[in-house]
Amino acid sequence: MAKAIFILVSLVTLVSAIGVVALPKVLHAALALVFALIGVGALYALLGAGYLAVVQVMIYVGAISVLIILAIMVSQRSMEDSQLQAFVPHRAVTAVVAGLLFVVLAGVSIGAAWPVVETAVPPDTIARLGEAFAGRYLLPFEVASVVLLVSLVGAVYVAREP
Amino acid sequence: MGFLDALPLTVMDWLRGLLGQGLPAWGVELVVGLIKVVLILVVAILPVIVLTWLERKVLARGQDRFGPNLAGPYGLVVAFADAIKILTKEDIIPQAADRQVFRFAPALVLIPTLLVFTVVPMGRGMIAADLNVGILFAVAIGSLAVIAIIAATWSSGNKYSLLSMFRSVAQLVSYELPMAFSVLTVVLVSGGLSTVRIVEAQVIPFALVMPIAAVTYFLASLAEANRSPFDLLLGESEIVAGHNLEYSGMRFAMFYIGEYAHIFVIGALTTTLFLGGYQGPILPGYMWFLIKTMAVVYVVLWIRCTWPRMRIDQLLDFSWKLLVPLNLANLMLVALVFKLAGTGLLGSLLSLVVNVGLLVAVGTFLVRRARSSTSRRTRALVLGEV
Repeated sequence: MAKAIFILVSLVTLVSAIGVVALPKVLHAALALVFALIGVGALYALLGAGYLAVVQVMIYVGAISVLIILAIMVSQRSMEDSQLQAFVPHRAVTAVVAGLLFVVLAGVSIGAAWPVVETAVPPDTIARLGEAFAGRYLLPFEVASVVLLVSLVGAVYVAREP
Repeated sequence: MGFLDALPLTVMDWLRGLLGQGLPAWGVELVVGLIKVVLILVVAILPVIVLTWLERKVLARGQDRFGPNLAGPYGLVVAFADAIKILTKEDIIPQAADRQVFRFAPALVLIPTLLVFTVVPMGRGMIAADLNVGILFAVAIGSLAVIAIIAATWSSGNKYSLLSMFRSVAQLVSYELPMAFSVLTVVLVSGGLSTVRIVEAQVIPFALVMPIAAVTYFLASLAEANRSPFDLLLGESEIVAGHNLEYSGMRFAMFYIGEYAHIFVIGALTTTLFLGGYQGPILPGYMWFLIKTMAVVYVVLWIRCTWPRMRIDQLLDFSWKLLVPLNLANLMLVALVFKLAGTGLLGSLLSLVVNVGLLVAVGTFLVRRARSSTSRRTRALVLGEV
């Protein structure tokens, strides 16, 4: 049962991921990205990481994808068909870079040991996560929030009229 | 748990036993899962039929009219007349439309609304999936609605639709924050993200413990559902009905059904978070859930016939300059109160006092500033002067 769901979800995710790079219209690619990200979220849920799955949907689909789509619409003449032209003049370079990246990633994922934890996921993962953030990993957590704050202030500064 | 209260569960268990005789374990789970899916569809779609009638009736009463009264007793058959009318309309796809996305978008509209019902406890033990991240799931799924609206408006190839989309995105992104803060206050007090746990934690309904969070959540979910007074992306007078402008026939009906199902979702989630969910004396749990939900739904309809539509700048100011700071302050105060006084009766009472105090303080401050302000707009907004 879980295996069948896994195969179905991975299939949807992979097809959407191919759609992201292969679809000619940028907005179609962005919508495919939404589905790919939801699929990744579903995979997290299958692995027993419910919190991560929900946060994935909330942050990546609810916020970042919307931002990407809005950026596409604002930066191009959105009422016209926008054909993706970016990689066309540099096909050879793109192919070499992408091929090298693929070799590196494939090497890493084949070489990795992928350890499996035998025990079941504890039910109070969220509480433990919260304790870890407020205790052991307090400093990285706060540093990350400061980075976000700085980028927020920077964005307001850039967008403000002089 | 009384007999009536447990009746749906008893039926489900009996069915499970019956299926177990002929099917392997995974088969039983599959069939039970499918039954749950069908039940959710029924729970989500059936109210739509009632709501289309109810909205007409309530709006008519608000405007001193009778409303539908010819089709059947009290005009009850009007929803079916609606359905027949919509099914017989021609399905038009505009020349300028992006055909694939245009066809796909209406399906996308309904999915988030239906998914939310999986984590709503509709009675004792009557929940499709008691996730340990339940309420977070509802919030995350709620943020998917904007994708459907973007897809629908962009693919229509119409400039009014596009204007509507920019309004809608600004609105949805702004109101997600106060909504998250009010939900966070609830999670803080109940000590869990599971919706069942939140309901069980409400010995006193949270609406009486932290009214600020309750009202904020209600207003923010109105904004998320694009309901009045936050329905300016549907502004008929300026942008000719906005995101569903180019749709006709059954595709338009999907937006229509989505809108009314969303109203029911507002009622269900507000009930779960702030009104004690299925808890209540004498009547079985699911009846209480239905009564409370319909009461909230009635308020939603009532607001539509009494409040005028807000302008986009007022709408964004209201969220960023009032709701967000207010809820941030409320979150900290409630956290402090419950840390010092415990989650018992004393803590709840103190929290109510703090909430009302905060509301009075902010209200006085706003009125004072408006009185001393020379800006006509501020005076009109706060003091109601014309």
